[in-house]
Amino acid sequence: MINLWLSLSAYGGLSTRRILETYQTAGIRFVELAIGPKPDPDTAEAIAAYRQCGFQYRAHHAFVWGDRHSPFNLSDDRIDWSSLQARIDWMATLGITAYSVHAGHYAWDGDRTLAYERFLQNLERLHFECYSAGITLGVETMYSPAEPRPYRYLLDSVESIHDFLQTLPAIKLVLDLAHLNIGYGNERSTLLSMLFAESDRLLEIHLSDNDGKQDLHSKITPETWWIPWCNSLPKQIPLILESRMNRKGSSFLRQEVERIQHWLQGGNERSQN
Amino acid sequence: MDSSANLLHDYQVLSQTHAERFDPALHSLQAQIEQQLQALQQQEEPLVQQQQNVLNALQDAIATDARWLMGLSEFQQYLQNTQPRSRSWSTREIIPLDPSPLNWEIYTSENAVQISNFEEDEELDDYDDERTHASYGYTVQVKMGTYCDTLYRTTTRRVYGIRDTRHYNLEDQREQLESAISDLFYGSNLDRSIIDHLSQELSYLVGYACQLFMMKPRRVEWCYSPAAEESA
Repeated sequence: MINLWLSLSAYGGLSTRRILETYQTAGIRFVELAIGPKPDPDTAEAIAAYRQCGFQYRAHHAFVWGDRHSPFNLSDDRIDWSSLQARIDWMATLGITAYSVHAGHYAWDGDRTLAYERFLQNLERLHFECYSAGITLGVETMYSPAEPRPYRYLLDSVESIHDFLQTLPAIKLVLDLAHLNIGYGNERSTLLSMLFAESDRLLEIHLSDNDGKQDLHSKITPETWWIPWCNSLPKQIPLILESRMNRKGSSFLRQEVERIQHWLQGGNERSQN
Repeated sequence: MDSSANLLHDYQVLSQTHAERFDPALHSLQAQIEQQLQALQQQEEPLVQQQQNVLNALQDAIATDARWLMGLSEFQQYLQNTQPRSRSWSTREIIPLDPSPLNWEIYTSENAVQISNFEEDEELDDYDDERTHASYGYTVQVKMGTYCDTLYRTTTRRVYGIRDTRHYNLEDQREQLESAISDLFYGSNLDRSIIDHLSQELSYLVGYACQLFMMKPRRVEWCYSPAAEESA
């Protein structure tokens, strides 16, 4: 059976409680906490309440936790460690054992070497804190947009990902298949072969699509570039669906999750229509 | 120290002198402009109302069956402004549409294409993978035969901060519409290739209709631009 989870970012714009209510109606119980819900003082209570109803959680980066969204950058030299520690402690009390974070970012024309050094230092500390709390940490593969942005990511190429795997062998990777659609060109297949051969290094795999330019989290279609790879995805690795379905309603959610599940199990689109 | 302490007082006196000498003239000029603007607005009102009536009729005609738009030269112009980009990342082959929209499947179909309930909206708590931001866009309803769906939120602009605003051009918007329109046929028995083709055709018609829905009556507006005056 495919281990498919649904990110809270797939149904954002509402309070966490409303989203979890919708997921419950749609029969979805495996959820990744993420950016997307409207920050709300009730967030932590809602997450805990639905855990009592059988929900299981993973957590992603600066997931919405309280009454505001608090982003952080692992290449920053001024990380609020007390806040991050509180996040980790809370995850542990909730039984969360998998936490994925974005690779660090730095100014578009900034110093990549310095950003990478800080990133590695911060990551080692975060890894230690997570490990101590019984949580496995993973870092997400990012991308390099063609057009200038205010900042650019680390782990945005096959070479940088390969280098990371060698440098910090204790830390896992989170593979985002949609990110590989932005700026990787033909190398994305090389990367997939490399990562699937070392699947014990993968914490989870994120699924969505985009236009090749921006990380849009769009709907997965038969033309989505990684579809031909469905049968090669390592079976034991959790898959996280991140396509946006905001305001579509619970029955759409249910059908969409079933459609993707069917596909990942080797079915085809035609028989789902 | 004493002479420095006087500087602030000296500035306040000069500033007050400037205000006394020029503010009355400025206020008078402002009142004069407002008066003339009010007069112009009264004169323009019938013409504004006529424009609005025509726009209402236009929107009603689009809501009844938008396909009459496909014969307009303006629609051809829109098609030229929304050329599909190369999709080297996609496994899907782009099949070019017939150069004449009057030969398209949706035009020759017996089903009307009804486009309605257009609304421009903003989402102040929108988000991407990393950051929250404000986004601006529109929502519209499309109905073709038994297929009907609300196309929620085609984004026209994302504002991350004063130095980071992203604009989505006509083709960006059309691509978003094409993706959303394919949900219209969700659960149908149509072949994927037919859904793709219909979605592509409809995305152009809906995209153009939305541009028309955004039209507002032309009104008198006062905009003083010293830069424009200098270059004139």
